[in-house]
Amino acid sequence: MTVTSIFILIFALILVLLVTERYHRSVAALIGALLTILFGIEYGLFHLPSILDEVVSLIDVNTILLAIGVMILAEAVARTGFFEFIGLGLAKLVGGSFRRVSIILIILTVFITAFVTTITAMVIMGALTISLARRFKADPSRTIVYEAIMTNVGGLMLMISSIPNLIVASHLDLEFLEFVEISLPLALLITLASALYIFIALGRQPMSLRKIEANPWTVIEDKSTFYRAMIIFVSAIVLFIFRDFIGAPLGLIALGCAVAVLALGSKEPESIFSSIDWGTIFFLTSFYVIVGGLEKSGVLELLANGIFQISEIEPTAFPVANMWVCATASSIIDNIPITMILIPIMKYVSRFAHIPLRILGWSMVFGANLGGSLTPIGAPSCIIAVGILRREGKPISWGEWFRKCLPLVSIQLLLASFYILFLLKA
Amino acid sequence: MSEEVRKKYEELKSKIEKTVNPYITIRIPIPEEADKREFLELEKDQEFIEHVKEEAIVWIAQKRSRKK
Repeated sequence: MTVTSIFILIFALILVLLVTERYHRSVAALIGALLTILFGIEYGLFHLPSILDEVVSLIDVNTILLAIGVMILAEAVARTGFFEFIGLGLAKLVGGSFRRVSIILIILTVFITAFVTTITAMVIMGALTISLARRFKADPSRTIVYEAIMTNVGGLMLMISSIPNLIVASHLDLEFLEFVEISLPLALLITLASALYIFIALGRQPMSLRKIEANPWTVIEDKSTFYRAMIIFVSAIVLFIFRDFIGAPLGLIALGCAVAVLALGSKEPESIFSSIDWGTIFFLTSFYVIVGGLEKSGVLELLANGIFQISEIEPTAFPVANMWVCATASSIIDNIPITMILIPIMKYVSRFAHIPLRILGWSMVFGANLGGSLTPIGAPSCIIAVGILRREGKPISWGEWFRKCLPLVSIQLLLASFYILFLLKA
Repeated sequence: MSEEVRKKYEELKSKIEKTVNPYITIRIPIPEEADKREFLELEKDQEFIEHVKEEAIVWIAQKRSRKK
């Protein structure tokens, strides 16, 4: 058997493990990384004396450190009660009807997800929504489902908002502000259009004149920790923005700020460590090794040749088609492997089909983030939303999910398609 | 939803719930003459909870007037 066919088999095995969820995704990726190393040695892709150096060189350490640093920072800020504080404060401000409160919560979801993981954002917004719905004696089902969708829009906002963004930004050498310049306008446009759609979709709910008398400050347990964590978090964002002038890698800045927040802005570092999504970190690290093996064995070039033939049919439409393929794939399997496999392939396609790599990168960012909303299992936030509704005695079926979500997600993907065409022309 | 996420959600919901829809939790020991099963069922008895709520209002009003 040739080295290419062996690595095609390894890749197929990993895909089967990821789709069937026979093992946890991080375990599936670790199995793939181990097979890559073993067969890599056997077929001369890696060499035993220098194996560790060769394997470590495949891993993007900056992205891994950035992901760990941002997760620690976001978890520390979330634990201060800041997001519940903002949510309660805004809900108290708009009051009136649950429809008005829902729109505010849905918009807030986008901004929260820009900084924390979709899982944390959905847990916070889910708890807030259920409690407020009880106050208004309203049904929270639709609001919870729309919040899950909007977490994926929030994932578009900043480079640090989702793992696919970090991967693409690292491959394209994008600075923090460069990323924001392109992603933020689209995220805001989609948020605005979605809020309008949701406002209509929620329908007229009985106007409840119930006042929310809660004092938002009561959710902040320790004001001094809260202020310290907020100062460090804002400093981290400022440092990300001015990274170009500082010259330090983003991963190092994030890790430095994470250490600061653990030392000064948190009372329970142990508990923060246990809340970090280590599964994703192992998954990401292992997948770098797998992708490295696929590249060395020629599998990625083979796939790229096939995709290049398709791109030649209509080069202008290719980035848009790429986004839809990414979105559809992300609705079934994790968007991290999709991004990691496709980004090196897009480098080949860009070189031979003369399509700007940045446009192809953006099409992947948009597709990988937005596509997660297409099914109830497409993104962690969707799985949590379904779990919350089941716990609250309001289970939602796949059919209901499609009925509620498909029109909204289609609008979001169409807006992203037009935006890609606009970027191509600009 | 994993067990860890479920726990985190329940903790957060209870914290927010106490702020948005304040409630108290009191431990009432079983009275000697009460049947254990019937007594334990009271925890989920909406009629009983409404009755206790009304009693609380009366109690607070009496306490206020005593203070005056």
